[in-house]
Amino acid sequence: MTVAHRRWRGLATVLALAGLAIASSIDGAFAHGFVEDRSYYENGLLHAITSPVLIVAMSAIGFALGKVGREWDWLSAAIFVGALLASLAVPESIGLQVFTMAAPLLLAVAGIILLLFGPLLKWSLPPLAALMGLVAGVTLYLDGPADDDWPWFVVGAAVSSGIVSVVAAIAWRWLERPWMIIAARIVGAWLVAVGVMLAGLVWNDVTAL
Amino acid sequence: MIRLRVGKNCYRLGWLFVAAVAMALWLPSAAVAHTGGSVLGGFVSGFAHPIRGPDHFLAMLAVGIWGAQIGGRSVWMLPVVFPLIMAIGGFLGVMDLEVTHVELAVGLSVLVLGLAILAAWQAPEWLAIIVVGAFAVYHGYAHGSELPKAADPVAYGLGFVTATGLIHVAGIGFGLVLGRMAGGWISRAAGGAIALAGVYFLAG
Repeated sequence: MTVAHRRWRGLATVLALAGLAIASSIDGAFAHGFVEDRSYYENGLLHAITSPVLIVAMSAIGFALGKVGREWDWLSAAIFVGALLASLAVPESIGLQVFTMAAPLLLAVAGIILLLFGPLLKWSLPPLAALMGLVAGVTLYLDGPADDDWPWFVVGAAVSSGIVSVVAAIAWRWLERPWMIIAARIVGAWLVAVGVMLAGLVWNDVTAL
Repeated sequence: MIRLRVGKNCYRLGWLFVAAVAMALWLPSAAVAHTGGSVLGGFVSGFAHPIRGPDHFLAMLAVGIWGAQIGGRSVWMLPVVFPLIMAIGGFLGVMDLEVTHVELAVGLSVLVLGLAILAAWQAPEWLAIIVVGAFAVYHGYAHGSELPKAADPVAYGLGFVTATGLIHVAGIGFGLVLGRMAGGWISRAAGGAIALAGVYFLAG
């Protein structure tokens, strides 16, 4: 690898981290704000990249797709998209219950995906991708506009989510180093821990009502 | 089996850690007061929490160094087991259930892990996991009881994950690079310093 290549890679990493920090500063755990002078599609595009939980979840899916063999990529990706679309048919009463636990669930599953490697990841990724697709889809649906144009919002969010996942998958394959496996496992374990703690927090709030 | 090439990769991790610590120290103190309503405020607050809390910081650094010192699977196993078991304590903390002697156990963890490094204790993996896991519950309780005070718990949690991950990785990097110099005595000296800090926490 040339020196210039290394420098570009370092710069790309710093820019990615800066972008993540800036994007995270825009709105809430699931971005609730709407930019008034933009279309629903554009708001959907922004939604997924300004929501820290969705960024983490989509990045984890992308890293996992990068980690597993090429022959498995299409299956998990297709299952994820299918589950995302299927979630739009979930009744609102059930969706609202899922929504309250969405952040802890997405973080914990993202953590598990990062934690696993090898055959265990290959076999568990399709069902975990389905779970993430369902939960992410419900959050998009319930966080979106209430009028007839909501599909455009979902399409926009799905496009930007896909971009985040694809960039993460390519980045993993491009940058892959032995220490990244250790780092992914550690971050995955901590994400599971935070997911469990947040689940406790949500449970506390729900039972206090 | 992960084979780490001790060289540029580990040095890069070291630089990443130095940058992270510098960022956390540079951040205004208001960010740690858990009053910021924005996601960035929550993230910064969560990121700074483990770095600015010397007892948690040293314990997590020690887990990384000890794992690297033991070698083999323990390099990643201990830093992975720590948060997974810690989640149990975190859950108890969030639920506000009564757990006694938390500060004592956190101080003791710094002392014991420091002594393990000082003695270059090549504990069997199962025993090292038990030692780390036992203390992790108390660390988790302390962190869990802080979580409800955060303005944005999700962002706080993500900042927390980033910082703690970096501390573990820094500990591993230290153990694999500097720690192996001078016949392993640099790691052992660091362990001694951590153990002394543990004594200080217990005395305080």
